[in-house]
Amino acid sequence: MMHKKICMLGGFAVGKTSLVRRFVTNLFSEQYHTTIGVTVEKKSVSVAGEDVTLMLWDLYGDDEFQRIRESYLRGSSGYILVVDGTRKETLATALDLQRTVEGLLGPIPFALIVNKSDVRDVWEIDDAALSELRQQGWTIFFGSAKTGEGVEAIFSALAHRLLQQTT
Amino acid sequence: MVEPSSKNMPNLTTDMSEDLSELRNLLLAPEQTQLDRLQERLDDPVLRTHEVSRLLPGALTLQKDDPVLTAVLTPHVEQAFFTSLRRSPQAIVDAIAPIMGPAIRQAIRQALQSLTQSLNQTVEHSFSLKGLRWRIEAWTTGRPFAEVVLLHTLRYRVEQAFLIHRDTGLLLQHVATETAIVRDREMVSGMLTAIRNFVHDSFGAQRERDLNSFQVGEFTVWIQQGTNALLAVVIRGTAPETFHDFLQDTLDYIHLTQADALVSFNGDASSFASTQPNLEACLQSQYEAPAQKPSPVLVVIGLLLLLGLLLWGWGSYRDGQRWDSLVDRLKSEPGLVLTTAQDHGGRYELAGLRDPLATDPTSLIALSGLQTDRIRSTWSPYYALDPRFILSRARTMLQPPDTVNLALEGEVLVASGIAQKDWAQEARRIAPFVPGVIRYEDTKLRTGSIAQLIADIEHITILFASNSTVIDPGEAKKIPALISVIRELDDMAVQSHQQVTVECRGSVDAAGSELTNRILMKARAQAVCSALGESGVGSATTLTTETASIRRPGNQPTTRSVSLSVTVHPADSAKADHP
Repeated sequence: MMHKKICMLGGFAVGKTSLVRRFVTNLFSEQYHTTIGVTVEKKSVSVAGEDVTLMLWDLYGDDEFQRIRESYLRGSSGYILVVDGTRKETLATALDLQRTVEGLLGPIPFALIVNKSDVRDVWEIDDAALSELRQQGWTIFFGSAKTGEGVEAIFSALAHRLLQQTT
Repeated sequence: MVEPSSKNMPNLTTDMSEDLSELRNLLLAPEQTQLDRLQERLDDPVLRTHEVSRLLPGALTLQKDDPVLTAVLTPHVEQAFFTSLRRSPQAIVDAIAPIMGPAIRQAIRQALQSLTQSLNQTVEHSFSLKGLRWRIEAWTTGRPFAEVVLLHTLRYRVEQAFLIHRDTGLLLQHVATETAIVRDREMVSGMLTAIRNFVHDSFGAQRERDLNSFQVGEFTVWIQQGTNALLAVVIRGTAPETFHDFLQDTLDYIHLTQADALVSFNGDASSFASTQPNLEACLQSQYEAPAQKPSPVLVVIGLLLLLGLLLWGWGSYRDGQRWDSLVDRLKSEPGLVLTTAQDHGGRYELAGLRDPLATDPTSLIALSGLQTDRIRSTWSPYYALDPRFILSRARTMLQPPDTVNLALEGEVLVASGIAQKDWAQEARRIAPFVPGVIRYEDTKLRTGSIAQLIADIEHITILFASNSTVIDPGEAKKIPALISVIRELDDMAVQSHQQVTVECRGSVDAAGSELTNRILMKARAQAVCSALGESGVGSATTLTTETASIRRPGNQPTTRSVSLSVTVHPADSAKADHP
């Protein structure tokens, strides 16, 4: 079976761990736990009839106090950028992270998910900024770890791209 | 002057070419020859093969330590081997049979040694306080006792080995022992890499500051670093430092054989299946050596031997005691004379003399508790002179009636009581022949019959003076003799289960009136009965008085008397007639 390493990247408290937990165990908790270092989770998905196991490296949130360590990113086949729709600055963090990763690993597949779509009425991120990114070729999903919306889709889409790249 | 015509030009060119060729031959002939030879050697495959065959052994010898050559040749050699195996398996079987036999025997021997060691450990710890504590632990944790023993005597055991891709942290291959608790091995692989990365970033970038080992409870995890892969092993206990070298050699070998696969790894670990034997070789273990302690099996055997020795010793001691007791008993037994009593190491011999009337020594031997089949006894008959045996022997030979009592006074056999004359005469004849009897004495033996005694009693008459009812002193002297005879009769009656009735019959002379005479008869009969009764005549005898008168003619003194009439009859029956 094919195995792929995927990193979850994003600013502080954007919901990376919640998305992974929703994806892996289909559970959600309102209680917040900050990730220290990294947590590795595993989930097998089937893409076009082929099974692939995603090893999800849920990295701690990037902020002004602690930067993402390059060693965690090394060997990744792809990554998911997570943005909190209710905090505009998390999009900027995601952009910074994308540049960092691309500088380190080169142009590997990635996708961006704007989390917390269940409270879309209080979003600070507007469609204009996202449209601009789409024009640059970015794959962008809207989703919610709380409701599960968009979670399966973004992981499946990324897995699909990873397999395409492999073949 | 004639100019050379154009028709002559080709000839000129040909000449020049030949000249040049000749010149070249003159100048470069040796080199040309060498070049031709070289060309021939290069172009001729047969010649080249011959040359390479001469060089190949030397070349291989020079490169014998080169792992690349080994790696390159290995697949070809393996392929050739498999092809040969398929084509002619019998040849291979014939070739390896001499090797496989000893190898199989060695493997079986090691397996048996391992089994013995395991048995030793279990037995050793089964009988100790520590063993009891471990047994409680096994009971409380629900694990088999043997497993608890193994865990406590374990020095180290490599339970899992992970081959991990260095950059991605993805698992390439994993092996584990049967007893190892294996969680999600892919996640363990990822987290091991993450932790290693964290430590590496936190404490420095130099390679030597990589995370090489960490401890979790009773487990130690060793991580061996390679260029493209990591080899992580989970060890229970403490492994020797030399095990690092073994791990590094294994990892180096994997890097060598899987170099391309490691570099081009894209997430598909199936190509690393061939590394499984290498990882399995890492699952080593070592247990506490039984060391200075003797083998528990030998201890148990020794204890059993000691126990057997003690039992044998106790049995020997007990048999010795029983033998001594038997000998004492035989020596003290009347009628037995022990002449030989020998113990031949558990086999006994007895010999002696035995009176026929003595206790059977076989029964005494049976009562001794010794095994009768281990005792050989020989007894010769003899007559013992013990008074009990002489008497017993006399009774056996003389067969005395119940009324006769035999006793031994010194060497004299004394008979007393009452007996028939015939028996008395026979006894007098046989008694001197009874062993141990010197003389026979029967003066105290009375002989006679009931009829004779009755006649003796009835023969006696007590006379009275005229008109007297008092026994004269002269006549009274007859009373004791009469009583003696009556008592004798009473004894015989008792012995023959009969009763005696003695009737006193008074008589008077013709003088006097009938009334007076009747009174006199009755009074005289009562006087005699009283005289007899006062002295006692015996329990089986009844005294009565006759009421009917017997008138005698004349006035003779004998008519004034009391005579006795005796009847003997069976006990508790009506009075019988005069016998």
